[in-house]
Amino acid sequence: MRRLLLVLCFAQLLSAQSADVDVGKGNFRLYCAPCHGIHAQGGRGPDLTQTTADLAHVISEGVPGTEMGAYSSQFDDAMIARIVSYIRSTARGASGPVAGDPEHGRALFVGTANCAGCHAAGGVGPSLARVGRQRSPAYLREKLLHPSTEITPGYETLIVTLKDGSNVRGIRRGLDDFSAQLIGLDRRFYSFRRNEVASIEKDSHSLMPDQKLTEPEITDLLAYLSTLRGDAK
Amino acid sequence: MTCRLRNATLLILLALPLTAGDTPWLTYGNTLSGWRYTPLTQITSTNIAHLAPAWIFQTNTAAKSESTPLVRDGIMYVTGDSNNAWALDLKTGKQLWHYFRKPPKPLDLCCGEVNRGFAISGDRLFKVNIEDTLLALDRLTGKVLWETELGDYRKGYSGTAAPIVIKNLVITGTAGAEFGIRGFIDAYDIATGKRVWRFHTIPAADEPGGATWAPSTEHRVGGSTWITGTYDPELNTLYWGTGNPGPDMNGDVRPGDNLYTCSLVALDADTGKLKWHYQYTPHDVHDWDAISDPVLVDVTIAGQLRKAVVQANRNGHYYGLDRVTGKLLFAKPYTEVSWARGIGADGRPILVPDQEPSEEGTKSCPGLGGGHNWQATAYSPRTGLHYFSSTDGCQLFYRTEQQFVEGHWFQLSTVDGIPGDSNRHSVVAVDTATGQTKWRRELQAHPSGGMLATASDLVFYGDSAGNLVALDARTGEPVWHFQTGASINAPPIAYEFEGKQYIAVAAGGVIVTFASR
Ligand code: HEC
Ligand code: HEC
Repeated sequence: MRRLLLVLCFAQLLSAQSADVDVGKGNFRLYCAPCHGIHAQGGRGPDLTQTTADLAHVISEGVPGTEMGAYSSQFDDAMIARIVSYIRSTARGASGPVAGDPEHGRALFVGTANCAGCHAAGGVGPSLARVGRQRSPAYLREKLLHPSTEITPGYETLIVTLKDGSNVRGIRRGLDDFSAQLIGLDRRFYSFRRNEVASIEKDSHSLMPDQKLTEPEITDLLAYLSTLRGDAK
Repeated sequence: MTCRLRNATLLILLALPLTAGDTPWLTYGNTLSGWRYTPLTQITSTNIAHLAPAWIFQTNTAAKSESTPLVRDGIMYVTGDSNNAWALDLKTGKQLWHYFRKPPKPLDLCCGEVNRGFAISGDRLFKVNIEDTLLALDRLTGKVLWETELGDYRKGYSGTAAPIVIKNLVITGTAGAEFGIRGFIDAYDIATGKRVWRFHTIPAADEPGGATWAPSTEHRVGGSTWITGTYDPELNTLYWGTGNPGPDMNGDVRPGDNLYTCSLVALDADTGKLKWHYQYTPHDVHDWDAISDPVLVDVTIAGQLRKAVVQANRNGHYYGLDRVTGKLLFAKPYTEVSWARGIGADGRPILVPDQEPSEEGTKSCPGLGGGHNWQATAYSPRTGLHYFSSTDGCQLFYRTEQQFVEGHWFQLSTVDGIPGDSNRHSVVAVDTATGQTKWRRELQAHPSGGMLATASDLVFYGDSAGNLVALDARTGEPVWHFQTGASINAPPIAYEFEGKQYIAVAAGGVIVTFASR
């Protein structure tokens, strides 16, 4: 009898735990999956199946200065614990060492590939100082192969054709049915009313050109990018 | 044209003593037929360049207001997010009173602590609070006269809809279908707050409709009623749209049509008894609530005058039903639709296979929010057109398995955008007699706030970029816009005060009212 009770209690405990994981997963898919992937495998946000972070702390406080927001006002501790249970249930163990030669990657970055031309402070591209923490390796690989597949939010491309036929291409800072604002590749700020120009169009091509890189170059660049784990701003 | 004149009988303004030169806005849709149409004609496409803010009221709340203000007897009554409400002097925009009650925590909400407005009768105002209570307030002081619980917020029920008053009853619905609630439409005595009737949108197993949930269904949940219904006094019938079955995206745990979810129900207004129902999306797995305004219009079809109820449904089709019998008159897609090849003569969709959400994601169109979602729509009897916002495009629908835990998300998965294929936005004008799209204006900014039609053939709406916009009702060409400084999520209204026409809208946390300068 006692044994049966014990088994029953254990079964109940298990089902309560799996209910926590389920509720955590439901919330994860709604609030976190857009960045961390539907299976927590990473994407625009880091892979969480291999994370060693203090999960509850990061979820509640966020990572200031990054896209990772603080959820303490949205979720109570019990809900954060459920989300943590779900993330733990996806754990795959720590990742192995990254393939490739980061030193050679760095040389390419500042040298022949000229990534630094756009990604150093003051360039048109976003800072990559922390990109090794922020994005999953799969996401970074895709970015180097096909820059236009997913464009970094806040860096979408806009093309405005003026009445004289010339055009301005740059980073979209504002767009509605009456006006558009952009930062041109010349790093000037432009604002146009619709009736002042011939056309205003979204451009699905990234301002980052297609990189004609060999497979070993990509591997080395990725190895270098994965070392970029600098301070959040 | 004759059919349109007859429509005038549907313009039922509550009989109230009005000052000359004052035209009120008395209920969520201005008329109980849900038109959001103003007979006022002072503001026209030729003089609209002179339209400018008359006053701005700062609510000092961080809000994304979805509220429709009411206007009567020199006062504007407007609700805000998070259990706030205000009465404002129409002449100056100054506050007469402020009602506030801190919402309890935690609350299970899909979509924020929003509220869509008051109902008014005599000296009483009625609103819901986010923790799913219904309140009566004194219109001159804002003092609470009575309050009654609609649903238990600890179990996922919440209140967001504007109530309506029919005779001596104040009627409203509930939100919460993402949290496994059992939806209802409720009627309360306006004097006492006592419940007079309740219609459950999900029947019990042994009630009519109960067999549309397989006996294996463990939790018969969903069918929320979070947008205000409409009313036909001649038929004494109330029309109300219902939301998705629960869980949203995993239909395997609830085989069957799942009545009365994603349906329009026609109820006797005195008793709440069901007269008929029409289910737009049987066994929905895409969260396509049928809550969009059910608008009452009389139309001529094949030479016959028909009393119709029209709806731009979230599932991508525009429907006309006979509002006496509930029989389908027509159904036409107004946006890209992938899940059905059309709606059969029997009123059931002709399904395309393999459109169910999946573990790895299934592409379906429209996306989760629809085509057209909840944003208020407008109908002009002058053009015979029904104006509404649409989001055009597709999404990936995911499903998962999960136990039901009372008061928690019971959606069983989610949606994501399709890389490289972002959604587009438009305002659509559909002919209410045929369901045919008359014009479509594609937009950069989402028309996120809902519509207003005027007798001077203008259509006003607010967008996600903060613009209040006026379009030519016959062509869809923009004729005016004003940048309010906050994304607009509420529909504009029109009223006349001291002989002058105004347009008012809640933009973020401010109320702006416009008049000709
Ligand atoms: C808008 C995108 C976005 C959303 C939404 C988001 N995150 Fe993040 N998250 C990030 C980014 C980017 C980082 C990396 C921040 C950094 O360290 O620079 C991150 C970091 C984290 C980390 C730390 C990982 C590590 O190994 O350091 C955890 C844990 C985490 N997020 C969990 C969540 C959870 C749980 C949710 C949902 C409640 C969520 N995130 C929602 C973008 C997002
Ligand atoms: C002509 C300028 C330009 C050059 C050259 C360039 N980029 Fe970019 N890059 C951009 C812009 C602009 C963006 C932001 C738009 C986008 O995401 O497509 C970007 C985005 C990125 C991102 C994504 C950043 C994030 O936060 O997710 C990565 C990673 C990246 N670049 C790496 C590189 C590497 C590595 C190289 C060199 C092989 C390179 N870029 C060369 C302009 C450039």
